[in-house]
Amino acid sequence: MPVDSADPRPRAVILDPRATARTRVAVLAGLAVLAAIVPVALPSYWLTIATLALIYSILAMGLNLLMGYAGLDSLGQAAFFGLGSYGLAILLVRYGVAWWPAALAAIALGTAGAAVLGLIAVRLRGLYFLLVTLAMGQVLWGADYRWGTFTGGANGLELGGGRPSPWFYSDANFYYFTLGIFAAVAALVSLIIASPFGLTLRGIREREVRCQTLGYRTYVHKYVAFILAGIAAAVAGILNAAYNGIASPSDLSIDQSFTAMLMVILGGAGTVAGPVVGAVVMTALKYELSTLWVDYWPIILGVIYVLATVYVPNGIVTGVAGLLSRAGAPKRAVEREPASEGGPAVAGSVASLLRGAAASGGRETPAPLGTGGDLVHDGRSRPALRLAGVSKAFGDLPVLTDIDVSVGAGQRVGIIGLNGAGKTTLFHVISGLEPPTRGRVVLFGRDVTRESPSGRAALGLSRTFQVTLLYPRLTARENVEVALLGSTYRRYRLRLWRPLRTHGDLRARSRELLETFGLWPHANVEVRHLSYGHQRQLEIALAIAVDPALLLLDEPTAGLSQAEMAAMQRLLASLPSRLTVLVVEHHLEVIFQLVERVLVLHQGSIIMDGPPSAVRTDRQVQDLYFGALPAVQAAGQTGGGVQKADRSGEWNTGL
Amino acid sequence: MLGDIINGIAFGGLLFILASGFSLALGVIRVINIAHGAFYILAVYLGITIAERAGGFAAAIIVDSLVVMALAAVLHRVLLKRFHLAPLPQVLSMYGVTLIIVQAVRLIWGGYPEVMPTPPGLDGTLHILGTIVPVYRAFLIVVAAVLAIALWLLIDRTRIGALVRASVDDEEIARSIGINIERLSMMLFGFAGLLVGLGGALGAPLLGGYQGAEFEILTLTLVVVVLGGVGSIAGAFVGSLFVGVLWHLGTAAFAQYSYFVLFAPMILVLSLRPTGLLGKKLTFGE
Repeated sequence: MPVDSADPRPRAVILDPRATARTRVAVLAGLAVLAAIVPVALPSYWLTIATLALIYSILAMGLNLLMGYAGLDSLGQAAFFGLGSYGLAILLVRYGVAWWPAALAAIALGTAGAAVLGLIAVRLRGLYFLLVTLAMGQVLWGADYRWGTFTGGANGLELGGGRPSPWFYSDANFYYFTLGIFAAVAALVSLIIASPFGLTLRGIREREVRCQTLGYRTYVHKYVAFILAGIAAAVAGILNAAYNGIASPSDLSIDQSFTAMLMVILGGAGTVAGPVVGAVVMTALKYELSTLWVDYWPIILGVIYVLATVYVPNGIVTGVAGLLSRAGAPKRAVEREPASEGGPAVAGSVASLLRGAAASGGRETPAPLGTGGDLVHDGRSRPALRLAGVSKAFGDLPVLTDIDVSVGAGQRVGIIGLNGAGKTTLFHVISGLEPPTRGRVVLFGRDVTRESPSGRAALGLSRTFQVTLLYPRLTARENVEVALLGSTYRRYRLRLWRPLRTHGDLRARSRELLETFGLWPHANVEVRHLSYGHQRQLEIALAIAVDPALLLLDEPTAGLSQAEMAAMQRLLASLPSRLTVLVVEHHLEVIFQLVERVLVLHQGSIIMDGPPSAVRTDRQVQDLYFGALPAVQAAGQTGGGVQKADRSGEWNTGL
Repeated sequence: MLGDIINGIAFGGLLFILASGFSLALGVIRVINIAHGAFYILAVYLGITIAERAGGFAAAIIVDSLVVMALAAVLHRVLLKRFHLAPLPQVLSMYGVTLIIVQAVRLIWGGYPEVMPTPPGLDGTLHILGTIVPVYRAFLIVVAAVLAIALWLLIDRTRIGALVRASVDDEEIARSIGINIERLSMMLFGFAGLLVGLGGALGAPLLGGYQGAEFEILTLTLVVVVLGGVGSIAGAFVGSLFVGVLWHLGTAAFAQYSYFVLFAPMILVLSLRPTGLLGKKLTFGE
């Protein structure tokens, strides 16, 4: 994706957690002391800057939750800032409400505004989201600007004092008041970021589709983040109006939205400290320079926008952290937890997972896993999956035609076919990413044709993707934990108040999964730094983590090296027997070993359905597929296959 | 009432001339031109000066179109090119550009509201269906209609239009057969600028320049595009007329609530059809 290089979102920096924790406490204590002595130590001019910087920090921290964590770049934060400031002003001036109730009502107004606009906005992504949030903010600004009799129009609405009580008229006191609220908001935001909910937001930012197939109704998470950001903006707006004694149209203006966004980007989106650093820097610059060069300040500010976007796309905090970690030793942070019994596990024994599943409330204990082929089926009569007359066409192009197939619980089914036969589309239709043009999809006896991907995941469907679809800037462990929060531990995922690391059961489970897949040594490495083979394994770990009843594997061995292939084959062979598996594969030797039934897909139709032995010897199938590449056929028959030397011999490419 | 509607359509025509450039940049090269309103006020003040001192209305139209076109092309070359398909840095950097342009205009022209005198030859009135319509407004309607048809033909019916559409649909193929995407995008953004420059010159006698015009024009254009649908010239046309009439009637009847009149239909359309009335889903490389 060419966007990556220009996207000014941060690269998370890996630091040793314990060392950073100690440093963080020290730094926080230092900052608290500094903040406390501002009114005493600095001239009153700087007290103004400090107060406003705190107010803008609150606005920017809220926006950061949306931009840096949920990946939603909102240009409409001014709307909620303005709802806060005007809510307070109008209640105080026009209705004579007392300060505290008015402030609470103004927060409620901002929250309600975010709740209404959020309903529409979170359905959109990327450019549309920008466009619509911008339009919403601008229209509110225009409404305020023109509605002079009620809002004061261009002159704004003076609060006539506007602070809660005489005590607050001392600027030092008001500063401490603001500092207290700032500290509370900062603590809440930090909690949210560290919570399971914070992790799910980052997951959605990285790969929304994957989250959906893992069982997330992603719009709920985005909606909550949108409202939280709106509340923060309203609180900032109220403080701003109280401090300045006026609610003015500039509160609602596009400039306010952009200011907040610049603060987040300049400081570092997706970092806790970034928005605060951005707010302090920009507020200080504004009050220093705009008084010095009144006429040229907008031009200077414009230049700052341009330069910040071009040269500091990842923000000050991320840049400094990067420099620090480069200066220090190259410490890859593997958490120092006591080693588990037995040393590092080798990929390949998913059976051990099931022990874990049983311990943490899983469903069954597995039979030892063998050769995949002839498993004994129990008497569960309901098929795990039934496709009835499923067709899919893209425009005039039919991709699937009248697929009728039923897969019994516990069955292992391989799907083979040439490139373009419709295999991946079939998986998309089953998992809900593409609606079928005709026909019905029935999962575990339930018609899910109209069900969302997350709804199907909740029924026990899980899948992997042909093109690895992980969360590139989350660590391997976080990847697995996103998957766990989508399913087994879904009860935690809207927890905003408890850090993720205090959820011992979830942490233990993610560790267990990583150990089983042999990925524990890489637990704290961002996934984009993992080798391709490890990424493919993690892809399957995510699909297994949700403890599925039906697993769709889309070319699990595609693009793997020989050694990686062997590991992957062991892994697949050890999948628990109760699991129903559909696997699309181009490596016939892999598939024939693994499954008891093979579907041959050709030009969107199933032309053959039978055990591997029958498919292998079927005349029609041989003519169609194997004639061109006898070597592959031989490999399939000997049952070895891993030794196949020539990767270009992948049969699909040869035809 | 009929007079108000005709005046609204004329205002809608002006909005279309302005919005067409915005919509084109958005639909084809996926750029939200935040500096749209800044381009407008630059064209207004520059146009007024040219019309007054050097060659009249026709000269103002030509100079405005060329100047804003050149400005847009340069901005694309220097800034937007770096942020291909990345909306966030695009809007942030172009907002910086907006601040610079607007303040420069303020410093050069003093920042007072100014309206261009109606150009000679277009300053009479017409009697249509029993109402009096200023000639200049009728002129705007005609220009907007001609422009709409011309743009539609250009994009849907010509080789260059096909080239642009194809390149956007599949960049890799376009690159591999030797199409220079950067240059094509730059030309297109320049062309979008030309349309805004044209709109500025044509809008100068009707709307003129005033404090905050840059963001009022941006807002109206946003509403037009959100309503009509991103990336659709027909949508921009329908949206412009709709917003023009609504805005005009709203301002005439109850100026205070004119923005609420825009807000309600926008929210309604967005909740029913997030891509706008005539919009299509765009892809952004993902």
